[in-house]
Amino acid sequence: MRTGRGTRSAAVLMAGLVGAAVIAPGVAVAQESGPSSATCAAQGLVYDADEQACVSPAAKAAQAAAEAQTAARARVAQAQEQARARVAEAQEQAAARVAAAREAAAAATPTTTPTTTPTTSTTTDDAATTTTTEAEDEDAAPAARSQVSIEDAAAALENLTGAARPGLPIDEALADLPRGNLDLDGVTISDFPASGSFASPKDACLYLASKVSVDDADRDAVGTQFASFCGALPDSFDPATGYGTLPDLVAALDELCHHLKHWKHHDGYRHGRDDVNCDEVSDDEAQAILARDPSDPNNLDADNDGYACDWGADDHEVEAASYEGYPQGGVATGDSLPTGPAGAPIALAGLALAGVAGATRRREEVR
Amino acid sequence: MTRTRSPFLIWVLAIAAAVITLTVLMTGPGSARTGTSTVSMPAGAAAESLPLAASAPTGIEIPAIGLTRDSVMKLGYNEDLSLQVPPDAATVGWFSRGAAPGTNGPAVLASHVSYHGVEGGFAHLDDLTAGDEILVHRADGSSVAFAVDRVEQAPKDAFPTARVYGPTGDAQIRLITCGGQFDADRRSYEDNVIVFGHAVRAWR
Repeated sequence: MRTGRGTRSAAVLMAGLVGAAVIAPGVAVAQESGPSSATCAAQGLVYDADEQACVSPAAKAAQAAAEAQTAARARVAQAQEQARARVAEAQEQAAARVAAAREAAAAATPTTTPTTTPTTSTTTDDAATTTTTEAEDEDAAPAARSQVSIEDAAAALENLTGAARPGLPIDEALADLPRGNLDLDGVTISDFPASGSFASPKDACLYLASKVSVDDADRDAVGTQFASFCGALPDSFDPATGYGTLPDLVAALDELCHHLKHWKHHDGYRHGRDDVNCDEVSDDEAQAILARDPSDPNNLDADNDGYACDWGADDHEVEAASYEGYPQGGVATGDSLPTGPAGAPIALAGLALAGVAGATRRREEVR
Repeated sequence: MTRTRSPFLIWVLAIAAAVITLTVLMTGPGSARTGTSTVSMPAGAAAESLPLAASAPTGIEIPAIGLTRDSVMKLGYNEDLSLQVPPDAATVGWFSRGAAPGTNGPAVLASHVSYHGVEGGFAHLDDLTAGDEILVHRADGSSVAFAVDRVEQAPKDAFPTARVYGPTGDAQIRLITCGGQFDADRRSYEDNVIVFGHAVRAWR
């Protein structure tokens, strides 16, 4: 009897060891391949910025803040470097002008020299001051954000509704928007919640859709797409779904609108910016920006043919709205690796192995 | 009498069990299935003859991969004339400039395999096998069941455009997502996974 108990103990010990030995690689693989979004969500956590590990929302915000602060410092350093370069260049030019003025003065009227010098110096100082102010503004730019900054969310909201609400938290910005004119296929629109914030992306989306105005001819087409998109949204905000916050949703809706062929953009998308690049905007947006300011400070129409961002000779010769052929090329239906199988199945397999080993050992004891 | 079994045999059994378990668990839900997954016409519904008149899809169910969507967004063209894709992971989109489900021609629907790290609506599309059925609900209240003919994987730079979008003599369906190698630099997959199917029945 004592011998049997000892053998059982040995079997249990062996099973444990075998299980641990097999689980260990499973856990290691799980750690290498990273947790799934579902695993993160189950723990009340979110993906980190690299989508490799689960972290708390606060830790992710702190990480984003630190990264943004680092980026801001880099921008400041770059701005300062550029300022120094501009100052040096201005000083060089000033010195050249002064020298020229002195030569001219020596030849004719010496009184022009003092007039020229201060003017040049003032210009140089202005350049330095202006640059420093820009650098300070960069430093003061808000950094802590999850996926969408307050500014981008406000711009997206303005793009969607035409209503500018700068500086307001997004919830407050939604409270008093004018009614839109979309035909939303009879979908029931929730009122703005008394609590001040939406609990459901679906309700928030439909509420926002009810604030969108388009040309009368497009009310039905755009409304149908909004109703379709909103109807597929989850019932609660959850970072694992990509709709963790209201600003995320507003940004997603703005992105959706960029793909709508009937969509007419409001001015908010590039509100207050003077550094638009062709790779940041759609062709329609670029053309709208160019139309608003034909002096083209952003150099969107580099070849001066009246069309913004038309680099290729025949690019977009056929507009999508009138194109009747088949879609061209492959379909971009994935931008990240799937949330992999990771460690759970392997760990389960390890347990199975341990169980089999233990059971086999126990059968031997009985015999 | 206690009979001693070789420790080697114990190890062989254990490892075999582990391999089997791993194989079943790691290869996904599709490979664990022994038959095809079909859909049933609800009691009280009246059968409709194919092809149907055009009507937009309003929902899709693919029981074999556990997919149910109560809405389907419309897709058009991107400015480079490629097919638009849904702006999130979960949504399924329908190429609205092509055939409607149930009409003659291929109804083309697309969804992501993975988007921003979130599993996409068609993440398990490649688990479908010939005979699995897909149910599409339409705006006019009718529903169409499609049977999968085959699942193909094609490079995006050699996309079978004609076979996906080209005309057919009957009502067919195409489901598209991404597959193959993931290019981390471009954040893009090299291939598309395409499910080809045909309508088998409809009802209202």
